[in-house]
Amino acid sequence: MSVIEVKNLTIGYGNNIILQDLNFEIKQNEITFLMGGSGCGKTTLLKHLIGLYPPMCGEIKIFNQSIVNNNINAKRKLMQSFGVLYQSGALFGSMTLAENINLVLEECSTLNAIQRRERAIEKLSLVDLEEFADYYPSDISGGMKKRAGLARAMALNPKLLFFDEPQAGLDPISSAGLDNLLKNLQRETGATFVIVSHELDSIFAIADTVFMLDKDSKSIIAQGNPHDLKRNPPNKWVNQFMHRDPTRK
Amino acid sequence: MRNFKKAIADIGVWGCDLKQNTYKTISVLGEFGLALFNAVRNPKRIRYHQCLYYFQQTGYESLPIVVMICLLMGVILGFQAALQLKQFGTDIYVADLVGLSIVKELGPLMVAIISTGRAGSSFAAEIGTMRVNEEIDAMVTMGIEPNRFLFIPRLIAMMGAVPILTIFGNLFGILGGLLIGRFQLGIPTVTYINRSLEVLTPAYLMEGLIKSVIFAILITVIGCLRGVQSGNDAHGVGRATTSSVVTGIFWIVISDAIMTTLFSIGGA
Ligand SMILES: Nc1ncnc2c1ncn2[C@@H]1O[C@H](COP(=O)(O)OP(=O)(O)OP(=O)(O)O)[C@@H](O)[C@H]1O
Ligand SMILES: [Mg+2]
Repeated sequence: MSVIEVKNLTIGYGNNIILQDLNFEIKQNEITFLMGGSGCGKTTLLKHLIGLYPPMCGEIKIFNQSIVNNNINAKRKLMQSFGVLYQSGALFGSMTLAENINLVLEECSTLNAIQRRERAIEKLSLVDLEEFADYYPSDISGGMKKRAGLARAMALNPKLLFFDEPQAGLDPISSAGLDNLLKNLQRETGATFVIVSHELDSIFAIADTVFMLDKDSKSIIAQGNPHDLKRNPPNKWVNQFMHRDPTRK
Repeated sequence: MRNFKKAIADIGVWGCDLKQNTYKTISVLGEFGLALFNAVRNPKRIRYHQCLYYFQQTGYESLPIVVMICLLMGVILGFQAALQLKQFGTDIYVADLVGLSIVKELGPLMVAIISTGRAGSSFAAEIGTMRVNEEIDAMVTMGIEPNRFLFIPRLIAMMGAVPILTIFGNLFGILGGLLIGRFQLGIPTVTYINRSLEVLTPAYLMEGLIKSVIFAILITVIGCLRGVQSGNDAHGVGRATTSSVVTGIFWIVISDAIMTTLFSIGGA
């Protein structure tokens, strides 16, 4: 079963096309990576998938509902059915970590104040931050912000989560720790994870499927299991990318 | 010929940019309007504690500077008026001149300009930074309408804070005039106050307060607008902040001119 279906999608800024005529599906209960070189449009694609920008043409369906052609209320409902972890965490600076999570619950659930606080602590303890519930985002480190952002993204127990470069800027140990955390969360919740990243270590450690985007052809040049792609690369670019070796043929 | 063609092309590009910017500005203003409409229709969903926070930030914390500037304004006005009026032996008219110009014009205007510098710029910088940090994107994907958080509480706070600051500004401006009247011209305090109360009709006070509410709305809309339109990096936020002050002062002066004209036609 596929959670996200993309048909004939073309995206870009102004008249500048970044990716063209994409067709792919993201399967349920898997960790899917969108990878590719710098500037190939990974972030751009992610922001279109979550409905922040309207595409130039084409269709994106999440849980069988269009996020492109839909009225504003349906779109808002659909957005509440998934969580997003932004690159910097995107925590609201004027609120503590617990209040950040509380806000989501207040707006999108019927829980009362006590239940909301409980849920906030529960989600923070998933990412090992329960002691920091009453800290402000400016008082914690970048890696902690990412984890707090993850806790907030999971506040409503979504069945689909998007991540923009979750490992970027983390030291190798935190990065590996985050990979384990993601893997475990995914196994426990049975949710679908879509991760934008070019961290090869993470990809080999936790990805079920990868899509490789390419800047020159503005399209997907490879897809499948990362270990298979490394063994049998369909073309030179994938070969170079997967082996971190720009001299390969 | 080449230069000529290039000039034409530049004008075309400039025109397209202008059209796009106007279109974007109008659509943001429309969103603000919609948020306001929803807030009026559904006042329970307004975030009142946030209003209080901004009220403290834009009102209470601005009080010292407002009081000081308006007091000095009154002193300066009183001093200049005293120099002129003394020649004709009409010293007591200092009270008229200071009182009327402060209450009708300078009080609201000075407070508005101070608020543009303090509040308008901080609105633009805060909202711009939130954009850079993807906080606004996060609100949208959480299904939250950003303007309900960003615009409405600031608007409510400013519509309360600016008129109150103006009242304080007026009082201290008149006090400044009084000091000159008392110590420079030797007018008894009671006489000065009575004269002021005589000329300052409620209509004049209202005129100043109405102006201050309009200024509050302008400052908030421009500050938030510039924040929402800010670029995606530190440079963009800086430019948005500067622009919020420049645009804010520009529109305050324009609207002041219009309102002063309207009030004088209206016979106030
Ligand atoms: N707001 C924008 N307006 C116009 N063009 C943009 C904008 N954001 C990105 N681009 C362009 O789109 C292209 C893709 O950018 P994007 O940020 O999606 O790349 P990316 O794959 O995420 O790269 P990285 O790995 O470096 O984050 C780039 O060439 C960039 O110049
Ligand atoms: Mg990116």
